[in-house]
Amino acid sequence: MDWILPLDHITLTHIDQTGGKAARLGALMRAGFPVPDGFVITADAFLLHHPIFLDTRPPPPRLSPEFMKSLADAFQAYFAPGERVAVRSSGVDEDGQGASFAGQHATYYYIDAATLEQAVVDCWMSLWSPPALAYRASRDKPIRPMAVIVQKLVDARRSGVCFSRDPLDPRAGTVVIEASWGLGAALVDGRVQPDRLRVDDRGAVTLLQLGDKRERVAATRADPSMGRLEAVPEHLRTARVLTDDDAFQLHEITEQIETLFGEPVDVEWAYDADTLHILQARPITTLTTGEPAPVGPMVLFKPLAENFTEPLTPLTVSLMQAVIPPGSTFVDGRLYVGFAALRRFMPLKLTDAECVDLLLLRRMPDPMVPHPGRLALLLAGLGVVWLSQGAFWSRSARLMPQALERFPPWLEGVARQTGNDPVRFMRATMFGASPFAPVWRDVLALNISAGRYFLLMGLARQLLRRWAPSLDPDLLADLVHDESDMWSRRMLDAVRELASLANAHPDAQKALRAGDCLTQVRLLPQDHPFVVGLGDFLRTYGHRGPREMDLASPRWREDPTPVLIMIRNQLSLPEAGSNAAYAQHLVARDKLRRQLGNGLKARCINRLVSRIRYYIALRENTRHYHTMLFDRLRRKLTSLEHDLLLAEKIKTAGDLFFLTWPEVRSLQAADQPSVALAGVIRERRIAHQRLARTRPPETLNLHLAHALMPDEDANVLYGQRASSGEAEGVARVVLHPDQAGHIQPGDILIAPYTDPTWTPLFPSLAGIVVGMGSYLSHAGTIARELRIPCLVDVRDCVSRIRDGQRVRLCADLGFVQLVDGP
Amino acid sequence: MTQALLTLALLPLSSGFLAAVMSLRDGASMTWGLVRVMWLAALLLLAIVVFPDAGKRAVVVSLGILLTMQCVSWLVRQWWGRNRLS
Repeated sequence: MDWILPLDHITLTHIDQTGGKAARLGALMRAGFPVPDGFVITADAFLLHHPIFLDTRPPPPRLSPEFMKSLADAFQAYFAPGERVAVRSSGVDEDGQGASFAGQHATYYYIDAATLEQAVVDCWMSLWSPPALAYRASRDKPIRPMAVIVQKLVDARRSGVCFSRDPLDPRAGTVVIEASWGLGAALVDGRVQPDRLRVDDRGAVTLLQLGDKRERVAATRADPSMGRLEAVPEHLRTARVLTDDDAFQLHEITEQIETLFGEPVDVEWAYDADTLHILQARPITTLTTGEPAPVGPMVLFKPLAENFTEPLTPLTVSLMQAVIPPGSTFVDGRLYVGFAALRRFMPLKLTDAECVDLLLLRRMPDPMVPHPGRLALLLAGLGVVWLSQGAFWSRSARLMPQALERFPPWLEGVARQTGNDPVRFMRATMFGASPFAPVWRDVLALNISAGRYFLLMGLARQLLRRWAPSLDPDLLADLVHDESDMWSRRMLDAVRELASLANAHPDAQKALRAGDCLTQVRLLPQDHPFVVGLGDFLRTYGHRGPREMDLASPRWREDPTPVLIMIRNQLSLPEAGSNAAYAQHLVARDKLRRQLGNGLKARCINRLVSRIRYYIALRENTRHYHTMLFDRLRRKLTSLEHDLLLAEKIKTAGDLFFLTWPEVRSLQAADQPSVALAGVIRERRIAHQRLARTRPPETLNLHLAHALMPDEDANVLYGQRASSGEAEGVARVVLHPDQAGHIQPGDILIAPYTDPTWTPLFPSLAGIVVGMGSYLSHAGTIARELRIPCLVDVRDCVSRIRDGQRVRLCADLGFVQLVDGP
Repeated sequence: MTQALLTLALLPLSSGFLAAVMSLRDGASMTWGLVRVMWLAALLLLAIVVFPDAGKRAVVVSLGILLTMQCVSWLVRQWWGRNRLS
């Protein structure tokens, strides 16, 4: 009976003795892969101390003297005195197909000879930990013996997971790498948003998405009393973890491991200073979110998807289900609308592909052939909508901008009245105001109703083509340019003012340029003009932030780092000069007057333009206010989370957002923490991190007959015009506004998506290309306002265009061209 | 028939009147709001004057339809939200 086996003596035939993890590590080591040296305490040693299996947690065993001696001898033989090791579980049923047990059993770092015995016992006892028991129960797996790996602790600076096939798209033939700082535990637990790289079969990186890596598990601990998670220094948070060469090396080694085991694998890896180590390899298990599969064909709801690429967290989805209309549903955290029902109301003869294009706000069908039957149905439907909503829409068409200023104090009052109950708050603010209430109370409906400017733009364009064919139809973009107060514009001005303030105070400038700018700014005196200015800014705009619709996303008032980054990006830019956009607006008005005179046609166009400007402003301004709703709701949820943390019903901040609302309610009512929910939170965190790195499918259960986009040649990428014009310049691929420091005036921004955090970058740009979005999206609205050509919905633009490459953007024709080839 | 056609024809006017009355609370200018209400009320009264019997019923029915539809749609929204959060 072998209690201890050297890792390099183990093969896959030892799996019943050493568990799947150790057996695979042994096989890898024997095949020459760089696996850290060590030994395995076999299942026989476990059985020696646990002769009877129990379903309930037994008391920790006393180690037999013979076993303790063998363990001490092995440690002495394999490791230098004082050397730190990792003690890792290796259950005999771990890492099998269908149940990976990933993270269910314990792993201990920083173990030395003195703490080894306790770590081994703790590792065994983790077999009966509540999450592990819940995991087994959910998969109907009985308790099986556990082996323990004792292995040299890699001084990991960088680590991650490499999938030999994309778990979400296994047929794509690409290797997917997730990478983060420090040891891999934070990544495997779903606690960090890792960098994600897609590598093609030649080993070239075809997609790089940088994650916001806020925490890491350090390979060495200065203070053993501290937890193993530590904050990542600010300058590393969104910095790239792996070079192209690293990605190539990982690609090669993962392919070799897949060949060795004969099945797709995920490989845990770590780099110390510069050497790669393989820590684990196991079969890829299926990734699911536990949500039921949607029924019937569905189409992605673009206006929500274009604002941020990450899926909504489960709690947001669970609460927002109450707000979305029937026929729509959330799938993997993204909102989809029922295709069949919407198609029934399309008054045109359309193929499925054309209908999808229209629903994705991509392009109008050409030619447009009316469908009389559906037209009648649409008119009947619109009639019903008009009867129930007509008065609201009519009121929203005449709303004074100042009226919206009554919304914040009213919201404050409702927030107070509804106490700590998020659902009562939602009922009072999000389920629709009574028909007799002031219209500004329903800012969500106002925001939706303002979207009608899109239809009015189409009408105005058609009329211009007919009445003034010699005029450029894109003149409309200049005509609708609005200098009036929009909150987005005011925010941009406020950021510029703060940048000017910082430029005038070298200490503030220095603090902003530091890697940990938030810490440095906090060190400035409270009465420093910049600190005072920043406080004012946060009082007005602190409810905004990245991914505003997601209740899990911190707002600027909680974490002002994105604001400081916006200001830092403005520091090196020239002061805003004369308003060229307004001059173009005046020229356009003059052209229209010369062409149409002052007759009825001109008055008609002017009236349409005035309405379009009003609705554009209403849409932008209501957005400023409706994000207050989400902020208030988040405050209530974080307060509730605080109570649950104090009662120790959840472990860490942020866990709450990975539960559904009924689960939160049951947790509130329970006397003690739920064993099953702890495991559920962990699984959902991991699934969320992986989904966040994928572009959501635009359609579900819908098989389109032909490709939606024109055939792309290697030099040209197609998209949708959001703001007209042409530009040529250096492409600046920016995956996060934090990385925009190298942008020079006249560059063309290539971004995966945009939200208000990106806005301050826009004024100095010659053009904008965005991976997601539509005419109505944030990038388009601001770009039109600033008169910058903007192309949206350009698939894979961030991976196909290289930073520094020269590109020509023809927004009017809907393409961006790589001037010097791919 | 006349009654139905008149009700249908008066629906937009009634909707405008209801919207004008409700918008008095929306923060717009009270003077212009009242002018608008009175102007639309005068048009509705004109319909009653021109069609004394059918006009009166048509105004009441059209306002009734609009108010009912608005209240029902609001109640349905409330019910839908509560139902999905229960």
